[in-house]
Amino acid sequence: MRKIFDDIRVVETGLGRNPVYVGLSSLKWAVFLMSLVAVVTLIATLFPQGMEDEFYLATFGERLFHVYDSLGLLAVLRSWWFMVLFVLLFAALVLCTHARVREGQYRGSSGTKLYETEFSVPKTSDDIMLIFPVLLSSIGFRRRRIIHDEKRTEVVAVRGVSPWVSSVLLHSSVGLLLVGLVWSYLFSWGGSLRLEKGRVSRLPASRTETRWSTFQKGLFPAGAGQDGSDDLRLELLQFTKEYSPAPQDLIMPGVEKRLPVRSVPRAEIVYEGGGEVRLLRDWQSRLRVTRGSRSRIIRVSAGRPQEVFGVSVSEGYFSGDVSLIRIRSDPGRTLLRLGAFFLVLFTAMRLYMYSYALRVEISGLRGGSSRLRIRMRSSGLVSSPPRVARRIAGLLAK
Amino acid sequence: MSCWAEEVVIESVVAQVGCAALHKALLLVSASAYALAVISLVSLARRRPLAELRWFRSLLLLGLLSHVAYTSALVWWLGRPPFFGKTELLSWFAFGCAGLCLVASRWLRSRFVAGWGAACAACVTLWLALTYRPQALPDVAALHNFMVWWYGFATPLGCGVASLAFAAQLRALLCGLRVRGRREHQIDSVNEESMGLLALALVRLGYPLMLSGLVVFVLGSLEAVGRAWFWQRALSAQLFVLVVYTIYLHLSASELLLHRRMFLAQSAAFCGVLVCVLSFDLPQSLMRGLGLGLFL
Repeated sequence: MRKIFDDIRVVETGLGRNPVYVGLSSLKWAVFLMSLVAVVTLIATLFPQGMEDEFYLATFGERLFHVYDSLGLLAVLRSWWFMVLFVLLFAALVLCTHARVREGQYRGSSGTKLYETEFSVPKTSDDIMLIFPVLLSSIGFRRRRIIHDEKRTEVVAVRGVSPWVSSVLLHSSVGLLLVGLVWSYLFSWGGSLRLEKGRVSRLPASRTETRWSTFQKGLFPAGAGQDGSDDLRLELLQFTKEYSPAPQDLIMPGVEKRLPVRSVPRAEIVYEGGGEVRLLRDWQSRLRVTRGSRSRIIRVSAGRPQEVFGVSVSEGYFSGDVSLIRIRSDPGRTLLRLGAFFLVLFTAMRLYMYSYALRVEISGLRGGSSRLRIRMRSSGLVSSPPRVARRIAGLLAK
Repeated sequence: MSCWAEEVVIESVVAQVGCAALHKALLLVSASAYALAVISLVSLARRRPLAELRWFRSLLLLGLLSHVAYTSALVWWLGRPPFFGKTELLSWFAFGCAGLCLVASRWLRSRFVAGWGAACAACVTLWLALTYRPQALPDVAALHNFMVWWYGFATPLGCGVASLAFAAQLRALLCGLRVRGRREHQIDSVNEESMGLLALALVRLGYPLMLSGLVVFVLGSLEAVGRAWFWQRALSAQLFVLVVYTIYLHLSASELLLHRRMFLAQSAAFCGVLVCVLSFDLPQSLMRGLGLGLFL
């Protein structure tokens, strides 16, 4: 608590003297790594990522496409060096947290501006000390230390969730998210399958043949994993499209195709056939998925994936009666979801929730009155030290 | 087509055109009120505190009421929350800027910051009013997930707060430059330090909003919707803004605090916010006209 208010020089011992540890656990190193991540995300903002070659050729032209591709600007989010950056960031995060836990020092609070104020009350310090702890409790403060002797009278109290706790939780959730990202990069795979009715398509069980690189190029390699008995087999049993008649108010003069729709949910495409205008509302596939001796029949539609045998199967698009099925397996998804949930929760807790560390020094004056010197540090968006000081003064005056 | 059907079609078209005209009129009223509020702020009562500028506050309130009427009409017409389409996100962004300037004018203190927010709201609302087409409103389609509503709610609001944070940081820089030149009487204790703290507080307000918007969109919808959403400029720009703000927050809590460095981080984040907001409804023809169409 004293460290929050007083600038005490800490004598470094042990790991604190190791220059490598000090360098890697410093904020400068972490900020440098975050700056590199910022540059990568800037590149990802300017250049569309992970699209097919045809898209880039149409957008940039052949010459620029080759230049950008050779510089690796078109797939930075799935590049190995971006993941290395994440690993370094994770190491820096762990070391930074360790250093601060070891020092018992919390920069987030000690770095905030110190609020100081003084005022007098017509009561002796003994009288004040009789009511002051109760007064602090009544406005939500928890006492940490009370010193009341001949030399000095001092009260230290805190209120709210400790920023130290929320900060450690927040950084732990960032670590969880980073681990999930790297895990997902290493072990996730996926792709698309074109399924025709009555034909069985096989998905190789070996993830080395079904990485995202092949996904980006299009379909799975033909004939891969010929003798795999553990392959996932998909058979399209039924492919259905649901149409509905177009509402009359959608027939606008001069507009023929792809009318945006407000009254019919999930309608995207206007289908014109035989002079009749119809809306395609939905399309779905009924699939038999087999792995080894086990078999399951599922129904998938656009935007509603199904989990089966550890992979996520969802409906993509279609061409005539050929259904495009998307397959995805991501073992890091749980970590990602957990990390993201806790990150949002603890970020809001760290930045929004108030926290006060208060130190009041009481000194006696002539004539039976006392002078209170209040020093307060606060964190959290809704915190307001002047408001708390005014409240304390008001309650004491009563 | 029978006569009855023709009548129905004509009535529907008339109703749609009437609805569009009403929406446009409400948006134009909002934009005009916001613009007049900026003019009143610039021209009237330069020596009075921001919170006492009645004309500014009244005009802003008028603009907001008109904006609320537009949003209510839109909700009635669409039959769902207005947090999906590009038009709706831009409208919410403008509403957030103007609302914050009105509600928190005492907290913002600076006329520059409040004027910036109102000007942002005026420009975006005017752009919406001029380019408004009710037929272009998208349907819910696959984006029926509640989490996507949160994206539509939180992200434009976060962007609005972020633009005000940039204005506050810019004001802090201007205060610093002005102090070196000549000292001026400052109303509402607007100085380099207070504006720096205001920028920090605004970043702290906007950061969880943007973060939650990005996270729920990516986790709740990206996977479900599929490959068509694999890369989105608005989301990448939002990620960039968040990374820069993370650096900013770490700088603010450390001994590395330097106002120039903070301004640099704020400027980078603001560029990201600009890209993010433009990507809600990218005026591609305008960007191409300016020669910036290379990366569209």
